[in-house]
Amino acid sequence: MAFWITLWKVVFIVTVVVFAGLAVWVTIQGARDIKAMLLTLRKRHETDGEAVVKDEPNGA
Amino acid sequence: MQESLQKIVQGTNFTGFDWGIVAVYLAISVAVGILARRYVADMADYVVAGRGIRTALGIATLTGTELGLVTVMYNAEKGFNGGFAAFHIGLAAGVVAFFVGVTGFIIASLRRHEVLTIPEFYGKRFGKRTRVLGGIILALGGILNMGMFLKAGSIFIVGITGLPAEGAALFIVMFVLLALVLFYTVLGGMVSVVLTDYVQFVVLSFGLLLATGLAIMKLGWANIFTSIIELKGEAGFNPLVAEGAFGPDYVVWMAFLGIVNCALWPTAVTRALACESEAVVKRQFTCGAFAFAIRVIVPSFWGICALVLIAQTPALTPAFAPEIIKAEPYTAWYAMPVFLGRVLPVGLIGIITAAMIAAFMSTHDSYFLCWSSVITNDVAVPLMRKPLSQRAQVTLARVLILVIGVLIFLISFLFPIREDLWDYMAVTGAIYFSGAFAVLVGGLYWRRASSTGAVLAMIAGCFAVFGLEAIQKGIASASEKLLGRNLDGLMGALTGARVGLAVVSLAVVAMVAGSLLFPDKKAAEEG
Repeated sequence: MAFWITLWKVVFIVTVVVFAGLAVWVTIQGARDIKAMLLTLRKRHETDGEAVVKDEPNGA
Repeated sequence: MQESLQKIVQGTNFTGFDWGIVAVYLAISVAVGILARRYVADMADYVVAGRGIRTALGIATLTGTELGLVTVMYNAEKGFNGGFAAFHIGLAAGVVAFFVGVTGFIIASLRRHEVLTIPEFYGKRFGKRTRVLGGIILALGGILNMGMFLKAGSIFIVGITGLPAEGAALFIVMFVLLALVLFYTVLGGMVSVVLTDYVQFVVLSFGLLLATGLAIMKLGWANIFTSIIELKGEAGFNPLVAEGAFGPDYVVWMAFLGIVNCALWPTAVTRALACESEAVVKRQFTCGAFAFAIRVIVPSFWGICALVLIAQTPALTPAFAPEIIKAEPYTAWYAMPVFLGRVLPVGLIGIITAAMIAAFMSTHDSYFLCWSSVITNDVAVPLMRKPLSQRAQVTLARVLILVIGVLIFLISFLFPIREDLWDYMAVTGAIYFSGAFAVLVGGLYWRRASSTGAVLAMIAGCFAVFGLEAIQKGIASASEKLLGRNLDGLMGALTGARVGLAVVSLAVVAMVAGSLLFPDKKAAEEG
């Protein structure tokens, strides 16, 4: 049983610590990715001649 | 709900201030979703956000979808009933997701085909017949799988807020939540789903970590482990112990479900299809492996903490069971929200509840979008004599989202669940993924795979429905009435894990045998 207790303690701590780091990175980088995605969508629609962003010519 | 449990639920720290936090959060989510509407011009925007998602945003939306309120509920139930041994589900999920990310197994190949849905790949590889059948089975299994989401969500909200379970309050809350999700998903499609998933990822991630820290501070790290040793012995840690909540066959089933969760389950695969390149797909799943593990491990830990708190609080113990080693379904569902309602302080409990409702919404929106796009793209469009315009396809997908919303509302409140929530979801999901595993692996990696083999594999996968205890009880009852034979012993041996593994094997055999006996004469390209 000692093996399993140690294993689950290590798994829990490692997962939580790595996920905390991942959460900080995704929060920061994800905001930049949103800007890039919306820009890509707007450009694609303009190229297709289907500008959907009619009321905001400079994007969101 | 029994009276004693109702009284316990009302002992929460949740206040009007916390309701205010929840309301503000929901308003922001819906506003963001509505703003996304202007970026949707065609079906590719609606279903895969124009394939413009990069790594970090991909991880956020993958986590937002796969870490739903129902995920938190069924994993907490697993932790409550199985102790730390339930962690093996998270470990398997994380390891398998990492393997899938590094190798690109299934997901990278699917992204290369530039399809919108999994059945669309069936069509390209095996023809229209396979695509339509695959779409129907996927939608059927998926909607059934989603059937308990509302029930689990409602129990969480009752448990943490102290709302009366009887009467109109619960119904109204669930109706409002469902209406909000339907509203912004119908309007904005995947673009709004991705934006709201990001907001929900941020709130949910930090909420999970904060609540976990508080739970450890409240109960004590060492106390949690010693309590589980006293309550469950080795079975609380070793998942291979047969007399525990799991056993060797269950562990193998969970390892297979690790593949399913990241490489076969349509909502996760849709995230891969929405990425801007194969390299991004691989990075998304490699980095996201920790999210696949955390979505099991942290809620299971909350369930374990709930068990410890209930066992050490005499006022709580009787409501959950005469002995709390294994509580009944539904009763066990209340344990984690009751625990959070007593551990978290005012204000923080509002943020955590908002995060959980965010999780509820992020899962629902993705599932609605996924099933409706499958029915539109893979069942309706191929069967139409005239091609549907992009605008008509988006409109049809929106109508279907509303129809699915009504269906899951009915299933959630009418179907009698008898097993653990996670086991119900694994079995209903297996109706789709048992066949899909054989068809996707065969279609992507075996040149001799044929359409007949694919159809046979998908039909074989439907036998997974016999893993549901409600269906087994029905068969046993019918057998006793019609044949006079008692099948309770046989049905007791047919656990969901055993039925699932048998059906997956059957589907693989059907795929191989069908392909060898009935090879395709020419490559099907009509899909």
